[in-house]
Amino acid sequence: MKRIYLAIAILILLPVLIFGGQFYLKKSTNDMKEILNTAQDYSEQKKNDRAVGEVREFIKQWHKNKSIMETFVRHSELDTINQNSAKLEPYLTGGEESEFNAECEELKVQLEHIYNAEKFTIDNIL
Amino acid sequence: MGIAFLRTILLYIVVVVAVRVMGKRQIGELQPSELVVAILISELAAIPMQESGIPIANGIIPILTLISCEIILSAVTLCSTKARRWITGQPSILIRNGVINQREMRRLRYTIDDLMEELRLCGMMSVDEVAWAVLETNGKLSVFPTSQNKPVTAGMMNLQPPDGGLPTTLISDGMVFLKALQHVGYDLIWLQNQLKNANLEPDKVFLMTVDNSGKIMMIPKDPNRNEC
Repeated sequence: MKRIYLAIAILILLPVLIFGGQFYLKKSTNDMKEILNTAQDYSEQKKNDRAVGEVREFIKQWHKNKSIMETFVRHSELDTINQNSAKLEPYLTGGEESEFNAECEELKVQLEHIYNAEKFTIDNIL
Repeated sequence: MGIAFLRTILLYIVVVVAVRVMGKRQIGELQPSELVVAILISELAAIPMQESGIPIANGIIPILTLISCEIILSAVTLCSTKARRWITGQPSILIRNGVINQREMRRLRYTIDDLMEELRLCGMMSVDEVAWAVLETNGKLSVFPTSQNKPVTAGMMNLQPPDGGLPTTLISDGMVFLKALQHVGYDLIWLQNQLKNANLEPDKVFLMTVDNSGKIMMIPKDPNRNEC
């Protein structure tokens, strides 16, 4: 009887954890995309110091979120963002605005992809 | 490499616990769903062991899910005869009083070669020696010989041989099982007397058993064996 209760508890707990993970992914990726949007706005307004500040905030948030995401997202997907985010500050400080914008857009797509890949959709299930 | 090593240990523990939770049956006695789960568990554990880029949760979560589903399914089949029939199937009679049920064999895709092989493994040389042959839900064939071909039993000869019952292990590899000793109604003093009569100490005994009739079996340890 104990095993049945344990099995039921596991089948209840796992979806709760999974939905919690989904919620976390959605919030964290949205927050990071917002930071990138702000950085891009500052860059357009030629406020590079503030843009650099936002980029550094993005990288700080990314490292914080990455350690949690590593428990349920494929590491190769996280590695791509790691590599691309390293290019942001050099592009900014080097005055390469178009490359910086392109990198931001790519990062936003990658963040969106991480969330979409874990979503409960027919595409992902099939 | 270190990651693969640690993951292997972790997943090994998870798999051992999972298999332990599944229950005590040998591979040959597993129901189809249980066999599928057992195979799946090994595959699921192997992938995160080798690929450190895959989160370990991707192995553990499916294993836990499978085990939970299997336990719940087992509980359902235990409580419901209909569910049991639907999930595990029903035994099929392939031979009745020496006559093969060919229709049933065709339905089960069970060939005559399979049947003869199983009969030989049960010591039956011919189909007409068989009263009943039942294909169980786990794929094993249960064979019951005709009364003329049954081995002679003490009951048939009107004999009353003594029944020793199941022997109880009192000492195993030098370790005394006190609960077992109490269970069979003896105490340490009795045990020490028996060992004294055999010129043995408890830690020098490999195996000691006693049955219901009081018959003792004692095997001393091999002095040349390597100790743990």
